[in-house]
Amino acid sequence: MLFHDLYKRPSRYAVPALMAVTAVWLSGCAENGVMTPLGPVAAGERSHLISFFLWMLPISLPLLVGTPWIALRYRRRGGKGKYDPNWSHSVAAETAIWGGATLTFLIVGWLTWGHVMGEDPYKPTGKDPIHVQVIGSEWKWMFIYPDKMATVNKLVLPQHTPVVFDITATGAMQSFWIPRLAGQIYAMPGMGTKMNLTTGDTSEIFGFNSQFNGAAFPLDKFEVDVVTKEQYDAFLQEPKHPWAQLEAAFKKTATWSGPELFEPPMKDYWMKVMMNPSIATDGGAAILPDNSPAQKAIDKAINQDLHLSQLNGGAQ
Amino acid sequence: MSILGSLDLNDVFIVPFLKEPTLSTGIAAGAGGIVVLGALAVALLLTVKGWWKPLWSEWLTSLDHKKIGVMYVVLAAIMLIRGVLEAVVMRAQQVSPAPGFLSVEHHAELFSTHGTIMIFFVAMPFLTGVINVVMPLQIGARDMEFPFMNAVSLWLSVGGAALVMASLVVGHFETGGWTAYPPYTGIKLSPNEGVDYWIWSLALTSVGTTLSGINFAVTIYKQRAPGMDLMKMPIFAWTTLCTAILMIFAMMPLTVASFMLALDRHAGFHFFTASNGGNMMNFANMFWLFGHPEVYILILPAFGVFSHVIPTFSGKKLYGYTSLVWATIAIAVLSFTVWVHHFFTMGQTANLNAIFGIATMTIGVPTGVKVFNWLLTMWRGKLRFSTAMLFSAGFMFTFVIGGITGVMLANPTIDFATHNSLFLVAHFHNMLIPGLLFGMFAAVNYWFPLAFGFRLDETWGRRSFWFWMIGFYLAFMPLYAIGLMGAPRRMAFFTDPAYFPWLVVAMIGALCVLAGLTSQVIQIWVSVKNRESLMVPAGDPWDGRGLEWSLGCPVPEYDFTTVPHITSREPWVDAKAAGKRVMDPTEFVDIHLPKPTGMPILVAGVATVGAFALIFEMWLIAAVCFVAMWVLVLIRSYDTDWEETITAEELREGYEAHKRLVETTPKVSLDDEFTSKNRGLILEEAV
Repeated sequence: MLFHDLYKRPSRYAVPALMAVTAVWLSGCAENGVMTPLGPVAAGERSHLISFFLWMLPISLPLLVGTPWIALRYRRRGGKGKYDPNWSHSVAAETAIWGGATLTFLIVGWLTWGHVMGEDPYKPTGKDPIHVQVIGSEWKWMFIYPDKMATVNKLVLPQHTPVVFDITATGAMQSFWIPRLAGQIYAMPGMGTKMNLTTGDTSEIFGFNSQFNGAAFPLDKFEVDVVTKEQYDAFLQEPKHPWAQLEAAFKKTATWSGPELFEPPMKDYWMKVMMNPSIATDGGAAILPDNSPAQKAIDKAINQDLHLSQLNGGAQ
Repeated sequence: MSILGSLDLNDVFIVPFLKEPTLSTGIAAGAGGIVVLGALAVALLLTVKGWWKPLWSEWLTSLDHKKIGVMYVVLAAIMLIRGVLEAVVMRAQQVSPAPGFLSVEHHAELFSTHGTIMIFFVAMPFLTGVINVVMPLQIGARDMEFPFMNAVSLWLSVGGAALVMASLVVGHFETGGWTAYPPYTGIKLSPNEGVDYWIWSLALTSVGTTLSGINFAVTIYKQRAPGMDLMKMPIFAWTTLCTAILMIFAMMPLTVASFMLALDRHAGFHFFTASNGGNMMNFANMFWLFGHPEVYILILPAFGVFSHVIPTFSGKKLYGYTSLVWATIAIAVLSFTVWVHHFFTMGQTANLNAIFGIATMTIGVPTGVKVFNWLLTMWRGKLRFSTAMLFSAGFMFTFVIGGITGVMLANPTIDFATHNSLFLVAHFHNMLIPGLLFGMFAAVNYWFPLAFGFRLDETWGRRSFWFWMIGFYLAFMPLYAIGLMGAPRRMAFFTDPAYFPWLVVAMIGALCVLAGLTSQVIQIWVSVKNRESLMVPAGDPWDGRGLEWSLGCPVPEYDFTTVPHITSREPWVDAKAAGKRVMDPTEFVDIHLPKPTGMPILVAGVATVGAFALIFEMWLIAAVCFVAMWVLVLIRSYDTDWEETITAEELREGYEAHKRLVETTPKVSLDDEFTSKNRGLILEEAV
């Protein structure tokens, strides 16, 4: 009966169906990406994205509208357009096309220069930034607050404060990315890169590695808590586990399960890792045979993580 | 170490499944089984039908550029089926409840083979095949400049593809994506044979492609019909020339980078390791020094195809020939100046990023101009929407969207926020599906009669277009959206429920694309079945404009009975306007064509076995194969009896026969273009 109705009177069902679909769609609108920024850097990236999309429209719309329009108007049967089989050159059209394309290029090129200089990840975003050293590993992240603390898979930052990250890695190339705060920068073994950003309001978000790096890639992520200044100071005072414990456990090519807060390492530890990444890794394989014990441990960790994320309503 | 190197029983596709049956190992075993059973079924069919001998003597040993071209396209078609099926499996994985039915490793192999196959074993053979069939016919040549080398190129590509197929049956493929960045692909992090499969299958095909590039460029420089100066060349020949130059210069960085990676892995070198002076950033640079020109190797031939399909089915001269030529040259040159935009996020200075970002945007200028040229070609035309024309129009519309997101991604600050995300994945599929596949599909539908003498079925062709077009939008527009929501690429599963509806739509899109591919298989099947009614022996079934349409279909082995003298850009249009139905003959002379030979298969076969031996560290076998390959080349080099002669008399008879056929073929109106009345030589004013 329903099918019959649907067939006869589609409009009766179309509107509620569309509304239901839209509602489901919007209710699940993810707030992980650059379109919902929480800091000035990500906000800048979003505005660049929107502005570039708009600047491309004047040159693109004639094509997007013109293609179907000309296709219809000049169709052989039933088309209304005039036929001029030898028309193949026009100075006016050439000028308009090359001119329009060049003008668009000049505009977006000019804007690009400003955008890139304004949002250079190497350029400090403010005075007295908080300094965090980052080490990406298979499959976990270490954050060192020099002389204060070291954490694993947990980054706590005070709100509305400039931060500078020094970034390196131990194994594969990774990409350090907290989408709602700033775009990504590679973390590479033997190399140091930098990222500057300023935090926004308090929030609980996450960052991750976006460059595929093996068996536990889906778990290669970290919690980012942007907190008030008081909470941040309290955080730095929290009880910590000994550094030696972290140093020994972090070397393993494996996912992290264990305490998050540790005593800081010696002063130039990050620099030593950058110069010689092998001191911070056991160099195990990143891709494992399906039935190996290490792979089974990863499968278990993935299932645990899924269970946790279901408890949290699915956010990563 | 045994002579079989690192090969052991666990590498055989079915063994992991027998040891631990899961859905993931089952799918792997099934895929391996399909390869083995498929090969057996083909062998059985050939044996039962007694087709081995004709297949060998007519096709596999042929040095005829048209047959080599067709074999390239067949290779591309087989690999396309695998690539699309892999895409469907990956889409299904992401809509099934996390963590899905594939292991992370299996999923990684899938996206790595999908990318490697689509670029190197679908796109490259597809365009090389189309160029092989069409380009010599367009410039009035009788063959490629180096027919033997042409066949070696083909069989090296087949060898590379065979290795990728073998990875389903024996061992694993690489898991670091089609770009295979070290240190992930170094021996420490990726100890199994996967990366070696990637290195050596690419080595075979990239050598083949370099040779093809040389062949195409020299053919165009040396074999053009008298009078055809460069600015009288058809646009497809121009885009081929630019592609060929890119092939010659761009493949080498890849070959070198992959050899260096092999040395790192097996000879203790440190080119790309993190310590001992190595630096992985050099690999990224070398890879993209190849990789970016590669993008234009892929797209330029399709631009050439559209520049012929659109004027033909608009019944109108191509708008802006000179513009198009200069735009093509500009794109080819600029393509070498933008490679850094593939890794804006590697931490270089803002100045460098800004320069490369802006350089990237300059390419948008000639590319945009081209699309306007095609649109103005349609303007004031009389458009007939054949399958080829539909694919061309679909391309124009869709490609512009990809262009918008391309310029967005060229801005480094936007790239920071979208790199490694599904937004990027959506962007390059948005360029390559219309910009390469639609072009090649248009080419096949348009030029098919040249190779086989009959047209392809239009009904199934148009269905395939709509499935592909709608499928593309459903599959990739959602990826733009969730890319902006922060969904990274190469992720085996997503836990965020917000992505789910989008992924479902993408899944439907993938199925739609699969339906498009199925329609194309049906199209070929139906066309072969009805070939009698689709025959166009008189040639020129679409009121075509290029020199290739002055020939009968299928085109005879020697292509041209006499080499025409060219005085304008569209000699065939001029001849038809003067009321002629064949080109005036010039001088009949004896010609020499190369004899068929099995040597290219032998050379490439030995090279492939050698590559397989390298993958599994069978050093002795590899060394023997390497020596044998060069011995075979030497033997061939001393062979003096490799030509056969076609006499002037035979050519004259061929000409007379074609002329008689053409004169007795009734004129057909364009209204009957897609009916069985079309036996060739269709004309607007005819009755």
